[in-house]
Amino acid sequence: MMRCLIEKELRQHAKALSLLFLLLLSGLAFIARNRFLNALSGTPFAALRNVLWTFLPLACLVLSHNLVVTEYRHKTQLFLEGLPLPRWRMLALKYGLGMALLLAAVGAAFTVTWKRTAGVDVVTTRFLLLLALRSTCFTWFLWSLAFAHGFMGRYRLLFGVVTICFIAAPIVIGNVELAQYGPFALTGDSFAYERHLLPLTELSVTAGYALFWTCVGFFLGLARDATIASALSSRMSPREKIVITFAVFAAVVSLATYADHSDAATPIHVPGGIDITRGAVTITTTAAEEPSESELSALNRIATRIAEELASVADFLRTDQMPPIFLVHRRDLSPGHIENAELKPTQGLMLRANVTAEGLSEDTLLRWIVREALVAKSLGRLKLEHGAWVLDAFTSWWPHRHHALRQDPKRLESAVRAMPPDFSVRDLNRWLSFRQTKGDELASTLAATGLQVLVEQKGEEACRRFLHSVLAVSITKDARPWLRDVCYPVPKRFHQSTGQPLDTFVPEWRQALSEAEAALPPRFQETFPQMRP
Amino acid sequence: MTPASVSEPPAERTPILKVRGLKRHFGSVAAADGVDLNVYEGEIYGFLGINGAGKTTTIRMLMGITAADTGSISLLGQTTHRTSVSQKQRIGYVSQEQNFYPWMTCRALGKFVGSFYPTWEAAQFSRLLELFEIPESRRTCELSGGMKAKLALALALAPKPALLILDEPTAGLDPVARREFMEIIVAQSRQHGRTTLFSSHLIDEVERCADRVGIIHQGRMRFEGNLRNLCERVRRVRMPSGTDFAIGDHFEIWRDEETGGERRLALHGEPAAWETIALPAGAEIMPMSLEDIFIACVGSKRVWL
Repeated sequence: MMRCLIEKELRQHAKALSLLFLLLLSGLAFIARNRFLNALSGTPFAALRNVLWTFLPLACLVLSHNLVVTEYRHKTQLFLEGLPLPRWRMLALKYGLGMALLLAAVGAAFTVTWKRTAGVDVVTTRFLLLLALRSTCFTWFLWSLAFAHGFMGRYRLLFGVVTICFIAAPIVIGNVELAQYGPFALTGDSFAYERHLLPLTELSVTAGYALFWTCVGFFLGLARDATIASALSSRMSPREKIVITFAVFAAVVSLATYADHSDAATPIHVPGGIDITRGAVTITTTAAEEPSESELSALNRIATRIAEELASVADFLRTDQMPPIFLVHRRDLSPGHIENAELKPTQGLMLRANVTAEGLSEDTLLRWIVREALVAKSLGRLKLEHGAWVLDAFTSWWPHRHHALRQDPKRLESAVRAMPPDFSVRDLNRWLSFRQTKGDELASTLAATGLQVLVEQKGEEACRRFLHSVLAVSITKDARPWLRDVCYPVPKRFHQSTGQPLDTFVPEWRQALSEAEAALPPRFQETFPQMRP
Repeated sequence: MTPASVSEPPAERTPILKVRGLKRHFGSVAAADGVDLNVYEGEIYGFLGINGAGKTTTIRMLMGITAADTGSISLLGQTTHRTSVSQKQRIGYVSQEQNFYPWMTCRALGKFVGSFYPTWEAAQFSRLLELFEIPESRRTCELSGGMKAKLALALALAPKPALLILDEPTAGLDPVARREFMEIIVAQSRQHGRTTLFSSHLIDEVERCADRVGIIHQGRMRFEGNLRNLCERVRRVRMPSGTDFAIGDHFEIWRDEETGGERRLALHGEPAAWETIALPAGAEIMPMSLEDIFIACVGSKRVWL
């Protein structure tokens, strides 16, 4: 009877088993032939560990799918139940067969590795027994987990995701070294090297897990006359699929968000740094090497200016949250070179510059810092395409905010040069491409004229409201900023802040530039014939 | 619900299957609520009930596939709470749906199933396949619904079982295949004197094939006996609408129907009671077909049209 059942299983899953066999052969060849890795790790048993970690989980999943899932999905277990065969024996056979096949595969890998060590390494009986014990226990754990997994039916994927999250959560959130515990420790770094110590705790923990999952598997297969397993094996309804997908998505996002929050970046502490605070802005200054008096003075003067500038930006944007700024003086840097230390967004902005260099342009430095401070404040979201034109516009407009459009012919000239005849909202929506074709400076100047036109037409308050809605909203490290960008995009914010749709404003912007260009002295007009009506 | 009515068992035969108080609940739903039934050696027993009456649950309990909450099953001289493997080896079972392994050929399936039965006869299986015109080398996924049912019957008959249990074996078959299949069952049972219990919700099928019937409704047996006995016990009394009629203690109303100015009562009582019944003026007793009796037994009690 049992022989017939085993024959049936082997014949039914011949293809899958053949594929696994081929995979095992390649694993064995890997162990036998890979001299480089063997030399690198010092023992071929390290390759055995790799086989355990790669082949075994895959084999467990394939066997569980074939031996358990297929039977219940095709309802052929109902046929078996009609035969004079106790249900528990049917399950025990599947469990035993799966375990036997896996142990055979592990045994083959083990034997090949052992033969491979002949003449290379001294292998004691104790060492071999330890390896065999570790491998067997690990195999038992994986198979019992996969066996129970097979009975989850349509919730297998969900169970898989939950299991992965459950394993990943301690690593991500708690910085836990998972390799120290239970089954992971059994096949951890010491697997190929530990020759004396019996990992009794790890073995008992792993055996406990294996026993638990075995019980879960048999419970699902036997409880309530197998009606649970039958019910679970039916296919998901479309509604259930949607609910499960949404739940999994929400759970993963929540976990990632939680992990992100709990992974709070360590605040930067600058030894010997001097803090300068203006409103919501704090700048910490320091020098890479012991600064001279003149360097210290220049550093403080520039830092104060930066702090005041950023404070006025914060005041204009009506925000009381600006990232901490760290200014490091490096006398080895060239005057025009400003380095961003690339801190985590929550840590703030650290820049390195030679503040005493002769050719340092403080205006350029200020503009750079304003831009990078706003990027850091938005946790990098302002670099995304949909809001990039507003950032460019603001950083270019801010130093010239008190100038009317016609008061600065050179900037007007640049803006007109950058503006194509068919300039539209589409260009704003694809700003990164647009900026690439026009160049950073021209594109930023053109964007800034948009704000100038907005101030002239709608007043400064409307412009401030719009800039506040894009540049100053508080950003959280979760899906909310993304949702806000989707539900409340920049054009919508523009409309709400100014009372005018962006797509009707852009033609007016073009018109205003054209009129301003027409009012320029003849020297400038000749330069841009394309703007004439 | 009234208690089951049991006709007199034939004294000369021994019950091969005796079920008492079999109960099975699924949550708050009682799929079987104290089923009592007797199947005698050599007879064909029709287990009649509408969909959801509890036929399949009862049969699954008889086969030991589902455990009973309470009750006893006396099968082939052994009384148990749940049918054992050795008892199952003496039962041929055809389930409602045929879930064969699609990749197996009929021959391979026979070999596989045969390994579970000590009394399996491979030659008998081959003969049955030939009789049923099923090619041995054909894979089960290539068989039609009717052929699958016949294959299931061949698998059930090959071990020469003492009891054959068929759970709505003709469900899903066309009328021709159904008739053919039932004729095979009757022929096999009559020829070999094999005790057969088959469930169905098709009255004509039961009427044509069964020696005795059991009617199950809402998990309880409403009637058990032979068909002639049933027709003698259940009759219709027809009278003008509004007629006052006291039925007394000897009868039970199975259905009270009022239509077109006429009242029709389907009454159940002992044959002797029918001889002495006092009818009101204008009332008359009429025989009922098995279909009418079945509907009166399991349908609505009162019908006003």
